[in-house]
Amino acid sequence: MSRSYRTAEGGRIDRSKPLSFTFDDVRYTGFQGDTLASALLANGVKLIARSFKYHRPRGIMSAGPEEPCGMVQLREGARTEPNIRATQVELFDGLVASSQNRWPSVKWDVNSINNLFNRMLPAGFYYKTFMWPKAMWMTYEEVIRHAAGMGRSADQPDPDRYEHMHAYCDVLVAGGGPAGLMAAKSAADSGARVILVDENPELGGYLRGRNQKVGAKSAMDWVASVHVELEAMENVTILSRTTVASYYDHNMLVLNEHTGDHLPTADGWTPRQRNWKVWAKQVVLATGSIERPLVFGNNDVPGVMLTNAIQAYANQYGVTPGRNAVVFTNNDSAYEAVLDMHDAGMRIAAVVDNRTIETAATKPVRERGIPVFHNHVVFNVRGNKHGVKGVEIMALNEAGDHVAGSIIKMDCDVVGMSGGWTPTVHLFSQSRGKLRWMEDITTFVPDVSFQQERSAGACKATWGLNSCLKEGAKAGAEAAKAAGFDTAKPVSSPKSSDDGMGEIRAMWRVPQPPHSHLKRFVDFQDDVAASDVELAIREGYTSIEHTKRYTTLGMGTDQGKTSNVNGLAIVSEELDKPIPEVGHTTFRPPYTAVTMGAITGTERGHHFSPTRRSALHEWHKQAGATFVPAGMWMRPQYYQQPGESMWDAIYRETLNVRTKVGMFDVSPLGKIDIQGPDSAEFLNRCYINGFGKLPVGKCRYGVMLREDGMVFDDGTTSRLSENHFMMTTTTAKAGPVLQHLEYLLDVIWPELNVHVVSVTEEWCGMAVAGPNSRELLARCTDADISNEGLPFMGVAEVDICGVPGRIYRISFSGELAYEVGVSSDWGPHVWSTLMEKGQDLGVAPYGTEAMSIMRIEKGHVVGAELNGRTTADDLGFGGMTSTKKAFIGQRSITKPAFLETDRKQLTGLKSVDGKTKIPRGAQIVADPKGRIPMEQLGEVTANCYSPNLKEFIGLAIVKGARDRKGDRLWAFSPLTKECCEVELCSPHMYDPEGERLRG
Amino acid sequence: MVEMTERVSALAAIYETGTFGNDVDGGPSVTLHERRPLSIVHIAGNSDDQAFAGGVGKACGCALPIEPGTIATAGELSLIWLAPTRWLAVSPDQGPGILEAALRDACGESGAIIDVSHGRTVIRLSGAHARMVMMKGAPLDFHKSSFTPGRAAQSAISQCGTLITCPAEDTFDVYVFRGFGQHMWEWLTDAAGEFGYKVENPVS
Repeated sequence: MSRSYRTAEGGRIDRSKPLSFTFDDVRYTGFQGDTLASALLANGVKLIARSFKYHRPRGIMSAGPEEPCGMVQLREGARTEPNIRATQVELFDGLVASSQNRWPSVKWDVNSINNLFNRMLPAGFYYKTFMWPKAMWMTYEEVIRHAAGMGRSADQPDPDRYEHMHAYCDVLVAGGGPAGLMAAKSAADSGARVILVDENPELGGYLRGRNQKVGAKSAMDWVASVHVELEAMENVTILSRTTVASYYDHNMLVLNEHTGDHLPTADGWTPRQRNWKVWAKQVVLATGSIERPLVFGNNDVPGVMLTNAIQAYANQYGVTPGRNAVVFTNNDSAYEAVLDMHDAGMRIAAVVDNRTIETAATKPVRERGIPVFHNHVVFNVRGNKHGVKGVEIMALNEAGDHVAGSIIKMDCDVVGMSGGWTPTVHLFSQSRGKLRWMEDITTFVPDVSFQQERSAGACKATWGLNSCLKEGAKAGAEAAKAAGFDTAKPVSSPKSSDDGMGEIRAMWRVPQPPHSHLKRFVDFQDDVAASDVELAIREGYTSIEHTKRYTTLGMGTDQGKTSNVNGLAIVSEELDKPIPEVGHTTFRPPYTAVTMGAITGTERGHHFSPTRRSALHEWHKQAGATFVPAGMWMRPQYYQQPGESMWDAIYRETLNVRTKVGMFDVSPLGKIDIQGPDSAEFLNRCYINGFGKLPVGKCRYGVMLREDGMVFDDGTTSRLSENHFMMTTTTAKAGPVLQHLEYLLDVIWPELNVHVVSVTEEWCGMAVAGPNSRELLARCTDADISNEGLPFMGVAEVDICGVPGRIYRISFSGELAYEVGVSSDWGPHVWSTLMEKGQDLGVAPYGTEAMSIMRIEKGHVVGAELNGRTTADDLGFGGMTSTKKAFIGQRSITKPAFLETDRKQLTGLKSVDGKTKIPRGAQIVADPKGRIPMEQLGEVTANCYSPNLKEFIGLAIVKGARDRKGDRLWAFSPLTKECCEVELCSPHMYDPEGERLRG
Repeated sequence: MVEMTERVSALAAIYETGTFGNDVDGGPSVTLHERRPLSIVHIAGNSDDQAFAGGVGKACGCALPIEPGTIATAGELSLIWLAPTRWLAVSPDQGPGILEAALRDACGESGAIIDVSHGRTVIRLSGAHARMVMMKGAPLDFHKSSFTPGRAAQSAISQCGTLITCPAEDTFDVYVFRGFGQHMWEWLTDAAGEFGYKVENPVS
């Protein structure tokens, strides 16, 4: 007998296209159209994986997304991916997969010893055992993780491309089976925009695995014809290989499209996956149903499969998962499968039916001479890692709660099980629809909708092809109508057969002979047996949510698609409570796993977050700048010259400003244009200091508070004309300040006639600072920029380097300085011209580090001090606070806490020994050798070596600092253990009188 | 002298014309170019104020569009609705301050007029798959029955605030703050790569 389990003919595989692949380093051949699962089964590979906890041998159990066992590590290297369901992997040439959760190999797995001691590993074993001694948990955890781990993720960057898509439609149809196809067609015929989503490469849903007819045509021919029709319609988008992963509020659904997973590797531009967000006016859920396993002894041996899966492998892939089958069922649906299996050449040793009465479905099976045992059960499977060897069958007693009589032993190599069908209500439930239990068919069905959706077909427990077609057509028409397409009507469907699953005899745990302790698995992926659920109930975990967490029932990558109903039914029996009272666990998105790559999309690498570039960015780059991110902006940090260290460059730039002239790109500072007759009044209300009397052509430093009285932001604001101002903000607060102003104008004071708009990007700003700055600018403009013509805090509209611009006489560095503003596209021209014309004046660019040193020397505050916990008074702006007008935050600053004299205040710091640097981020304490915990008197907010003062200085916020000038305290960093004795001094450490900047 | 100083685009360092991306049958199906140089003026005011609305209408040659998300046009000038009190006037470069001054003169003391010509980068995409590129970026309904010529909307693409307009079928203009220009160009061309794309010379 050949080792191949491929049928001689049949199946929708392309036998002219053989594909080579390897599993656990062994080379096999499959065909185009195979899944990895069907190709492995065709090659007689039964052992696919080791189970999660007991390391029991496991094989393929299903033919779809519900697969709990047949998971593999797919691909190699950077593309490797764990826990991939072999049942959904389309075979391609060169595919490499390996088994997971085994060591050293799936055949010889060391941890399978767990299985011998399985009675010592009950539910909650880990919780109970490894909690003592507590300190050992870290060690235990490592061993447990190794033993219980599933696959492993790649340890290299993902080389594939992932994208996002967004779409809108009138009707989204989830599922391309008979109901979904009819729904899509009915909706599309009305003119509605339809998106039809199906997870498989080929439409048809369950029909792909069956041998049915729609009208006179074979079902799959009918599917193909509908596919062609839909594809030709401009208002229809068909997304195959796409899973509706999640259903969120406002009828927003997330789809995961596997654009390149079926290819050896997607080419450079084609994404491997696309993550879609779709907003649908109406949704039709046609998600089908999943066959339920039966819970009997050793039902996890490789070769025990869902009956419909065996049928699907035979019909769709031309693969017989075994040669000699026993089928165990509690309903009619298995009989159709048995006929197909028989047609495919399998021997059927027996059909075991727990029901007492023979139904019409039995007849054709009997006619083929296949023995049918009614009122019997398969209570045990014999087999090992090589697969099923046989089954043990017994009759049921009259009550059906025990087995009776003698054991019938029967050889077989595959077992089909059919415990009825569970409608796939995941998306319905995610959409917040309410489920209802139907006792007669033992399942939950959609009951009350919460969003704009409707279910059709098997996901609504409508069995039978004819009914599904009709219901789908009706649902599609209703959805289109609800979306505003009044003429929509159900399209007619060819008359088809309508076999259901008949009467079902629920048997949640198949009885076993007395004194047997056979493992009857409920959740195959998480190794939860009926006994584990029973134990959890005995130990008091009576809520279904608690049972789930304690036993891990329904967890894992399959999220209990095959196990949830069986599990909660056992809980119901144990508690003697009806199933609706036990309830069900929450169906959470996604339906099947979504890779992180698809969620991330293109937001990775240097596009993780946008980069904002100043108009001078290229110049900085050419000049050898090292950039530092400031929010999204890239700012030049320093410009290193050959032979210089970073600090050499920074000190050179600083000294150059203080002795000659330097230029700094201040474009990222926030700039807000303010216009309207009430502008001055508006600014008065926003700033603590007055702006009403600011003359035209002048700018003023302003401080803004939050409503709670803490400082919000600072900056200079210029009056360009009576009713026209330009405000500057810090780089970090540009957005929040604009938002704040817009809020005030729209909500608080709509009566003020003021318009604000961001002009940050319109202006390229350059600080020109240093004793030679006036001379440099005089060479580039005809405007009067003398001390009289443009005094400190003056602003002038000028022509500079041949373009219109503005010159502001302001200084952050503390030197004689100007800020030049020109429209951004002219920025590079003006900057380069200034650089060129100032060569003999010693002009050089400086970066954020030099700026930082100079602002520390001058005691100018930035974000580190404007940290949301400081008041204007804390920072030394108390004197600016107007008492003649109302402003935002005014009420708050009169609260007692704001008036305490020992509030933390801004202070300068000097290193006492002159040699020790003040540690960054240090705490200010009275005595670093004191007892811990010690009082924290304050914290260092800025530190540097001042090349101008030639000493280590810093800024800090320290308790009552203003009255403690000259006091010596300690700056101690608990992180780096650095410690420095510091003397408190005025924050204005360089040119405290400000003579340089006014000169 | 002003005329002699050429405006430097935010994309100057990376702009390259030619054919890029996937080598697809039938050639590239997306075309991109920067729209420049442009005059862009931000206009704010109350559309019920006749002095303001009339002034804008006079200066632009078309009435202020009042319906959200719409554009009015007069020749090569577009007046784009941004918010209930805000519009953007866009035209090929008229020279420094010219369009701003025309609007200011026409509106007198009403409303707020500010030149933002240098503050935006505007990228035009066109072609059979331009719509698909836009769908990758923004959560808007770009279907041709929905985002029709004459529509404008604001949304985020790759975390950047954008103004998107549809000047003609299968044609989209993406406006971003100048500082995000290069990032947006990189992002859009990357998204167009799948379809093959052509970069043409900038034109206003």
